[in-house]
Amino acid sequence: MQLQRECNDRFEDIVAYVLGECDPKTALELEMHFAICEQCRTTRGQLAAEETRIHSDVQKILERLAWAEKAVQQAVPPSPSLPACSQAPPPSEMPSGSLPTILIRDDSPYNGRNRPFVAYFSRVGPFSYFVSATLMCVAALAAWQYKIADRLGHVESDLETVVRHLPAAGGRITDMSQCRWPDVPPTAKNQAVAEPLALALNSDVPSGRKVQIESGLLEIAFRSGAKVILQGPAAFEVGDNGGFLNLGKLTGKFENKSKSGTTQSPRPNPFAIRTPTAVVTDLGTEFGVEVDDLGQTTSYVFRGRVRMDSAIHTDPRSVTLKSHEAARLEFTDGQKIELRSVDVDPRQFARRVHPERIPIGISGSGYDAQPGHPDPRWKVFRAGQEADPTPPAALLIGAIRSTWQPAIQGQAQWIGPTMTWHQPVPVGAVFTFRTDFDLKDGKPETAFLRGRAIAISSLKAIRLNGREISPSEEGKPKYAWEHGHMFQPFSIDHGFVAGNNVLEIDVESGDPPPPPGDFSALGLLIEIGGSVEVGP
Amino acid sequence: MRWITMNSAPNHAQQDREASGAITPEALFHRYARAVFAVCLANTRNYHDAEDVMQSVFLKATTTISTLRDPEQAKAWLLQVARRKCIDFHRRERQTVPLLEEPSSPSVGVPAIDDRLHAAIQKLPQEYRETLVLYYLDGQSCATVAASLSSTETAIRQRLVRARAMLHNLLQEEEL
Repeated sequence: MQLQRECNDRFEDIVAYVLGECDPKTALELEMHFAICEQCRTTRGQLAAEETRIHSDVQKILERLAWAEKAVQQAVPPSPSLPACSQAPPPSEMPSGSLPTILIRDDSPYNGRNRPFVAYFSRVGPFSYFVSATLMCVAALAAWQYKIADRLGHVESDLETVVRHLPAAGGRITDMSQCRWPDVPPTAKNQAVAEPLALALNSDVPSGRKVQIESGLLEIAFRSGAKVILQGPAAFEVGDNGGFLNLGKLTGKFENKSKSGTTQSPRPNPFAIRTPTAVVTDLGTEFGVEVDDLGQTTSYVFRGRVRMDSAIHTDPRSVTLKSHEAARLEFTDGQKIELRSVDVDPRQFARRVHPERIPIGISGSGYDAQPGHPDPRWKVFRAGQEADPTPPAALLIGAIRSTWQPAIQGQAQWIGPTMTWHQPVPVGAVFTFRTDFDLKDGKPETAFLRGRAIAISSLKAIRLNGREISPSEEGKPKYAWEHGHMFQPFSIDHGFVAGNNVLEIDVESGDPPPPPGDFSALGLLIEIGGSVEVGP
Repeated sequence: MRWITMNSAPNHAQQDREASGAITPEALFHRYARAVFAVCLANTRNYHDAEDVMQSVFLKATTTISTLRDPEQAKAWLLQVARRKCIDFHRRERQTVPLLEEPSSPSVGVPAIDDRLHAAIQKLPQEYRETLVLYYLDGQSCATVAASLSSTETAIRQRLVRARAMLHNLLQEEEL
């Protein structure tokens, strides 16, 4: 129940994350949480789908506004400015064509009331009413015709105008992680570089727009279904179906499923990545491309095939790469280039924006153990006696109060050095509870653990690999409870090592000791879990 | 996110007029149509009503813009006009009884708008509704919305997130 409530508390943070309005710290915390929480991932997916729906609607509204804007531009005569509207040109200078509805209002400054031609008839008496009525009828008829024409679809020319002003085909930013943008002041030369504001999640990146990131990962999807993951630092110019990688790394993926279910590359506009020295054309695959400072290009194929062509027209070369093959186009002496097969570590290319995370094999106290039996994962010993290479297992003890129960029954239980609460330990004694876990295939620098603990009588310290997580401040232990018997939440995001890791928790017995039969002298209940990115 | 500019290059005559410090109707519409439409959309029942009100807002603006002394305040002034026009619109609506409900026939060439989405937005409280619609239609920037609504960026961000969360819940309820 506690976990459920925590996810609900995150809902507004997830909304801000999808809107691109989340602060970096919260975004990082959320991305870590997404890795382990399917419910929050689902919520993020629903919100992203709604964003797409909203943006689609917004685009339609903008198209309508474009029509209206065009109508205004046609309708307004080239007057010096509105305050000087009395000097507006006569109706004969009005643009030809249908009369926009914006002109039929009687109180408009452009309706001729202030113009000499109409003013003359307005002084002529009843005849002026006839002329005015006629003019109004004509205006109404013109406006009616304009609306009818609009409804009947005689607006292809307007539509073409709008389409002409829409950006050429490009991509859409579909995902990002820890992106940092270069601090480049706008100049005439780099106007085409997408500003950070324009690079929000779900924003469109038109063809020809340059995207630069200093670090992090940015995923751009194309209309063809192809995707690229830019890996900072990188400079990439978005194309119709692919683009130009000027510097850095990217991973391209194209999943075009034909009716038969086989993957095919689109024709006649294949997904291709151009670089200063090469053109890497997708033939239905997933591949990585790297461009170094000299413009030399390396490509590696994860699966499928790609064709790598030299972009130097005076020295055409080509090679087709299959799965797990790599090639490099590099400069040799002088201006000559060489295309050769190379060994590439494929792990240097990011294949997903949010790296795959796996749970860390650590369990809460008393997990999957029977009352009165030893805990298979947690050991306990008197502090200072850890010279014993095989400390005894902690023992499961019965529950004390209903409020001191784990969030999910069965995930954790009370453990202690004694089997019952009626075997008090010496006053002020400190016992260390220890468990270990192996990160195996995980990257230690990406691991994190999170949990909460409650101890009788007080939590003195939490250590990972012998290093205290939060050192005491001014002689006051960080984890001692001070506000009643509350669970102490904690998180650990550093101090992990490759292979085996040791987590220790020091608990001190109370002073004075609780009366026998009511409290135990020493016990610990800890819920804990975490994950780590898959990697070397 | 920066929205794509449909007609990004004003003509030279317009530029000359704007260079002289005067606000032209083209410039008014070009700069603020999205914000005005957003306010109209947030305060009317549907897109057609919003378009009608927007038209009356710009008509009003063209006749009374000479009273605007500070061009920097043009946007805030226009949005205020838009809100008043929306109130007038609703007042007129109450006084009239429609004979028949006009059938919704999609116009050829005119993109259809998602009415269900708009209906969900209409269920939001007024201040949330206006913030949300302004955000999406006028540049997707909390700073811009804050300037339009004379509020702080932090307050707008909080209001936006809550509005979006409420919209999500409404859309989810609708799907169920």
